Amino acid sequence: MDIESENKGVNPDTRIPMTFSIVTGFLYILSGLLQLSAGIGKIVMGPDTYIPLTGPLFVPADIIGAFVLLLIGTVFIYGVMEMRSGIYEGVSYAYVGILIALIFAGIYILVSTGNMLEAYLLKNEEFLGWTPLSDLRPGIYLAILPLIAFIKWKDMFDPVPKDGQ
Amino acid sequence: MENREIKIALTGNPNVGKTTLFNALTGSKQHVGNWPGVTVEKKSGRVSYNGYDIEVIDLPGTYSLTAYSMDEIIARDFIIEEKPDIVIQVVDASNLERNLYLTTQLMELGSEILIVLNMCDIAEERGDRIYIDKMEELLATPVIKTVATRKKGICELLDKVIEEKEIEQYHGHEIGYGNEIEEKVLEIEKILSDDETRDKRYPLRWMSVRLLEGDTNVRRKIAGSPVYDRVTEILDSIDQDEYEAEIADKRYLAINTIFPQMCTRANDTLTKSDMIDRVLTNKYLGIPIFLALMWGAFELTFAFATPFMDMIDLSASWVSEYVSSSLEPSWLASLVGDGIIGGVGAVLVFVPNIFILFFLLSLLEGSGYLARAAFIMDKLMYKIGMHGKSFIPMLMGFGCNVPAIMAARSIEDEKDRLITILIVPFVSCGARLPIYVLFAGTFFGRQAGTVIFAMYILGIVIAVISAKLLRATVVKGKPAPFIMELPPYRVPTMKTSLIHMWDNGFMYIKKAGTIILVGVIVIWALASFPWGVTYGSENSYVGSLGHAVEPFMKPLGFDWKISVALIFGLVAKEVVVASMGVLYGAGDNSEALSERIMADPGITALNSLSLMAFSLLYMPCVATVGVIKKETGSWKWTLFAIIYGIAVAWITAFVIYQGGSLLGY
Ligand SMILES: Nc1nc2c(ncn2[C@@H]2O[C@H](COP(=O)(O)OP(=O)(O)OP(=O)(O)O)[C@@H](O)[C@H]2O)c(=O)[nH]1
Ligand SMILES: [Mg+2]
Repeated sequence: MDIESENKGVNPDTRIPMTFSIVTGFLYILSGLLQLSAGIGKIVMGPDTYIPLTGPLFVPADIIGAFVLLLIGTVFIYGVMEMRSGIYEGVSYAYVGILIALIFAGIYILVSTGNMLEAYLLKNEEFLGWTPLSDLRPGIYLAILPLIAFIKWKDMFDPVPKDGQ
Repeated sequence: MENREIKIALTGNPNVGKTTLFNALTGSKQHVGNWPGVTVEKKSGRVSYNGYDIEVIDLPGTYSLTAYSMDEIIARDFIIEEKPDIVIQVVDASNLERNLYLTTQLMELGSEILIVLNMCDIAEERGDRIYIDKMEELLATPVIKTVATRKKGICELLDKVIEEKEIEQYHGHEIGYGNEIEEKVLEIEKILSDDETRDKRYPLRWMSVRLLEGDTNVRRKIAGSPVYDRVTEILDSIDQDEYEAEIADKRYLAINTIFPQMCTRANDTLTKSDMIDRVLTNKYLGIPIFLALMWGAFELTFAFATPFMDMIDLSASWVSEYVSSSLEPSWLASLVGDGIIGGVGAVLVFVPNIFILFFLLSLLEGSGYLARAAFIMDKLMYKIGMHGKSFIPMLMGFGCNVPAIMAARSIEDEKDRLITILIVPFVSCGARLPIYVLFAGTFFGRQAGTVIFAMYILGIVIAVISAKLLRATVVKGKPAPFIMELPPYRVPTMKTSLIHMWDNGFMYIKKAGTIILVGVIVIWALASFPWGVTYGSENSYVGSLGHAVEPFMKPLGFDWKISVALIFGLVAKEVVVASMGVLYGAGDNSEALSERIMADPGITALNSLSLMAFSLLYMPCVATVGVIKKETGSWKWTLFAIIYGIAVAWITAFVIYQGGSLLGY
């Protein structure tokens, strides 16, 4: 107990979560912007429009999905701004950013599993030529970073002392 | 040997786990959720234990016995008027101090109390230490530790209940309020005791204290008494606000003296719950995150369910084909094939969506996010004349409007409550989901999830606009300020979520086998008669019915078949889909319903949008109308809800259809 009260006021180092948030946040925002332009491009300039990089990066033309990516990126960057001004609680944004990124990756993977059942099990004509790669998108592969952080940094994000009786 | 009877009541602050404990004790499946105000009615159950028959009553949560809202009054009146043998106060061990306020009041009531220290797991995890022996001594009541979610401590509790019943001696501590107040208490007690006709269930000291605190409810109770004038004379001679504050102070003082002796709390650290809250209730990010999560939920409800729906659809078509070709005579084949399988099958196809929806809703309720959603929306809601708490019934309405309307009981102000009751029917319940999935899936392909999400948003937007409208016209006034305790986030257990999903999903299946089956047979009969007409043609009875209302529906883009489906949908909204199944059943049965609808030139994407909006908004189902009557106690408001709903639905569908047509869709 005493040791703890001494520690009060001395906040843990936030360099690692900050670096992590900057990298992840920018990646999400960039792919969000790319996805947004792909989506808008398709509506404004017709379905054959090709936005550079969208192919190799598996970026779908999905506007709402783009907003989700932008939102996740914003949460990370918001946290960076708080941490930079010395507010330790800014790690909260990294934590919640990780959770939301994982939730959406989970949703996309489940939806993709549904498509896989359609394609391989029910042999639905609409899903002719479907491969697991058809559903790959930044929302899924970018989540690898948050996933690693979630597993590795669990203790870091968990400031509760582990001495419960 | 005859079993002996014991009657116990579970009381305590909101969200401390009373219902979880009740379910663990009695094996019931009452609604549990992680926000204050889940239980709004008393529920009773039984358990036999060691030769005793124990009746357990679960009560709504209450912060104090100064009851303000309807559910709190239910809890208080039960304890006083029904006099249970033992009153069990369930206490949240991780939030002990605040819970003790109610304890001080319960002690005054003079009932036999037993304290259950629930959620011990959380307190221990955090490192709090609670000294049970000291607590028992200071409060002069037995204390039992439990973890209701894991059914820990249940037997110990029952043993203690029996032991207490056997001793049957009253020991209680009372709080002294200081000379000046005590004098008045005695004076009033004396006057009250002069009245021989008084309600003996109410302890005199408790009544006097309540009167001094300015409890209008208690004051009304003695209004007819011959000593009423003498009591009011005393009450008028004092400054009641000051007394009220003084009495509350004395209670807090008592708590502050005893609390440190029975509990040492771990240092406050930044918990995960705090971290999540910091972000999810952020001024700028809160609402976007809420919307994104909702969108994700509906995307999942639609897209993940599709293959499972297709599987059910395939088997239904297969059975239907088999039946039509093998049953004799042909009318029987038509009844079973076109009618029952076509109609009930059309509803059963959506079971996967319903299961997913209820699973996600239980995550929303169990995690504690529901209370945050209300909190995030409060500022916005207040501006438009709504109470922040109204958002909870609204989100609960995603499941079913009936319990959602009852949940409005936890809203203290009568006007706020009335408005909430009137707008909840616009919130899209599970029964409307099949309609969207059918039409959005047919006409909007991969965008279906987004279209469904838009329908849910439309429902909420209409509800909110209606609230504003009602505030400005028939229910004038300002919403009461909003205070709500935010429960801690919890990871909902898989088991509770699965049970919640299964119970509600099963209810849907049961409905398909009862009320919808009956509806389907009636529609089939109306579509087959008078004798000799082609099944489901314009000359049948349904045809005439449809044509009768068509002029009213034409401007919305609905032909007679849709009109008929909507009329029968008044019973329950699933029937809309069932009727479509019956009416489109004629002909080649091997095609899925969506393909048959697609093939009808009378229904386009625009018609389907207008239809979805109309189904969402028009008169709530019969069960909802029933509960509106029960909760408002007025036919006037019930009728208003019906007419208003139909009018709003008609106007919205009209705008969508005519607007869309003008734009060239
Ligand atoms: N960790 C933990 N959670 C619990 C325990 N008991 C209940 N809960 C959770 O606490 C929340 C509230 O439980 P309820 O039983 O609905 O509470 P209630 O007291 O009936 O609430 P109201 O009806 O609103 O007054 C739920 O999310 C439960 O899962 C417990 O012993 N430990
Ligand atoms: Mg309850």
